[in-house]
Amino acid sequence: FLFPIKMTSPRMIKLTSNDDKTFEVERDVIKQSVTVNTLITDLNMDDEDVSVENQMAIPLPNVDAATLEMVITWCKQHREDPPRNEEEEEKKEKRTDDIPEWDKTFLDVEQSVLFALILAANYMDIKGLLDNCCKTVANMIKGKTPDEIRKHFNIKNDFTPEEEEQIRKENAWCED
Amino acid sequence: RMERGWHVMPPELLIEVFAYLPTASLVSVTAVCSWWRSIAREDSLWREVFLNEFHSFVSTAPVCDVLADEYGMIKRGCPTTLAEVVEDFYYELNEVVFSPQGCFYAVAGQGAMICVYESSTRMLFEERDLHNSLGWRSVSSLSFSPDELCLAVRGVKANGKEELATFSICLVESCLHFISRLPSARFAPWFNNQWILAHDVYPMDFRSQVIKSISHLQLYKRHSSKKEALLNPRTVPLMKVYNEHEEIFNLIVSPFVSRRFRRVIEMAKEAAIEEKSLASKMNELNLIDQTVNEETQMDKLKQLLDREELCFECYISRDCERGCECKCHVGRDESLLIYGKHTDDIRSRICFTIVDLHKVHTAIENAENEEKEGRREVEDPTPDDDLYSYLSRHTTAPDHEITLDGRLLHLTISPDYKYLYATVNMTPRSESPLTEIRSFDLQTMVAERSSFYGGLSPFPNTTTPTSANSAFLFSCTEDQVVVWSRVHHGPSLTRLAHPHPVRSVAAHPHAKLLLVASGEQLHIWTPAFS
Repeated sequence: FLFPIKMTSPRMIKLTSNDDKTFEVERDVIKQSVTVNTLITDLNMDDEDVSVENQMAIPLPNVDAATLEMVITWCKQHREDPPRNEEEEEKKEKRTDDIPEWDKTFLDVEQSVLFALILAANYMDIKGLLDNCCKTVANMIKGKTPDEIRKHFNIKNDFTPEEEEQIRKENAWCED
Repeated sequence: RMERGWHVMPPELLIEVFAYLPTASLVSVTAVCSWWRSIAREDSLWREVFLNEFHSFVSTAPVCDVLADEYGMIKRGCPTTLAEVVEDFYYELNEVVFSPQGCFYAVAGQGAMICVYESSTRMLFEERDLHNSLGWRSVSSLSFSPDELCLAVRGVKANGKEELATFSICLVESCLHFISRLPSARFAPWFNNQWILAHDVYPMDFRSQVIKSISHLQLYKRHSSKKEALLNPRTVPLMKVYNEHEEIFNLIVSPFVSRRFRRVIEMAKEAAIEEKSLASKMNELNLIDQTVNEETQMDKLKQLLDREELCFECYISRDCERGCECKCHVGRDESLLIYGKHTDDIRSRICFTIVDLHKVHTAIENAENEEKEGRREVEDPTPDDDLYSYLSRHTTAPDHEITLDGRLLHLTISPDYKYLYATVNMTPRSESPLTEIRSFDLQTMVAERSSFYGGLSPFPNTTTPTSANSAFLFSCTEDQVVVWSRVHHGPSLTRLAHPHPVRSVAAHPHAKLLLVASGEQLHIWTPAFS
């Protein structure tokens, strides 16, 4: 007797963005998203022996296609990363000068794209991506005056002149 | 579809971002827009700031409700700007003090010079040359009466003997009036508005290895006029304290006695009379609930002891209602006497004694009556068999002692009487020369966990006086004044440099004003931003 040959090709998972585009991604890559990983485990999708064609796609209603594509690119790049120990991460000193070079270039994008990436990383619960996005934003804020920050992020100043004066006085000790 | 833009970013993500910011950027963020402001002021972010800066964190913001404000308050209130340098002096300054409410300040300088100023205007009230008027060689300390109407000056006469002079402050004529001079007094704080506490030391008669001398604490009457002082120079003995090594020093009188402390002392006294241990006494009074774990037991006991409405005696009887007229409900009149004592060359103790003002008043009345009737106090005819019976009958042991693992250099109390600061030199006991300031919470009588540290110069800079207000603690080392956050302890906030060695610092009890005596100059520091 011949035993049925085990599938050698990597297991694929289907993801659908909120604008109805479907992406196929390796199971091993997307496990970095805690949200997707939990869903796969909860639905026992790992045990089912169904082909990719018949498999149910996982809907991601908060993520658009362009962003999802970036997220998948990031996950592919970081598939070899050692698993994170959140307790260790908590203890670490908060610093922003340790973003890997590849991520720096990858995240050198328009404000709106970075914004969408943060939301997606948060929704899909990808800690590594979220951390590096947050660090990138923090680096943009650092060393800027409130006015420069508003210009950079296109934020409207909604303080009344009186409030603004009050805050300026309160914060005066910090300006040197 | 949700609106996109950084100004509506979800709070948890903004916190993630802001957590990476240095303090200065976090402050800038609070001025960007109202949404960012509300997030950037989250306590969780500022807790990290406090931990980084002070290496410890006080779990509840003791001064402000919001930690961001607490931090700003520390930074804003810190006196970092030199507002004025007073150079009117042609003599080196030794001491500077504020009056208890901060209305006046006074400086003392070489050649027995004193100057009194009004705080709000910084105008000179009067300069006095006590070398000319009293024949003094030098002035060793200054202290204002609690009601700020009288100034007591301690000094050394030409013959080397110490003397205490009192002056009344005349607001109408803006000057000082000399009232009286009283004999030798080593530490002379004001006991209350009527009496000055003085301290004389007598060598021990007994050939004793254990006891070197006896300190007599007595009260000098504050006189209202020169005439009264001449006619009626009054002293009342308060208590005697024995000295095993050197004499007691740095006497402080505080009008505040914490309930917990008083009740524990009362309970201990009662137990001693009944020849029981304090623990068995507490058991007997059902103060300890054995059904809960030890920690909860302690907390419950503390709560009981701190309880406001019941006095201790009423608590024991357990049937006392409000409106009871026992002496505890009518109102207690007690002072806490605090002093330092060296046990040997390298260790010291802080001693606490509760002084019952009712008893003091009775003693004063008795003395007055005796004086009127021309009676003299009859000496106790019982002979003193030995040293210990003498000590137990004639001296007062402190109600509580705190043993320090170093040599105590200086004690100071916060203007609200809630904290005691002890400058302790550790040099004889540790490898590295070290002087640090410890603080004691007088409400609970325990040392606060963390000390103030960061480069106080070691021995022999023994005269490192400290001064405190509600937010800051100041001390000096060589030509610098070191500033700490009173609440958050840890390393110093800043160091203020001076051109000459600093001899004395004084912090205004509530306004943000710091006076520093350095060389022939008085430096006045204020916060950079008010």
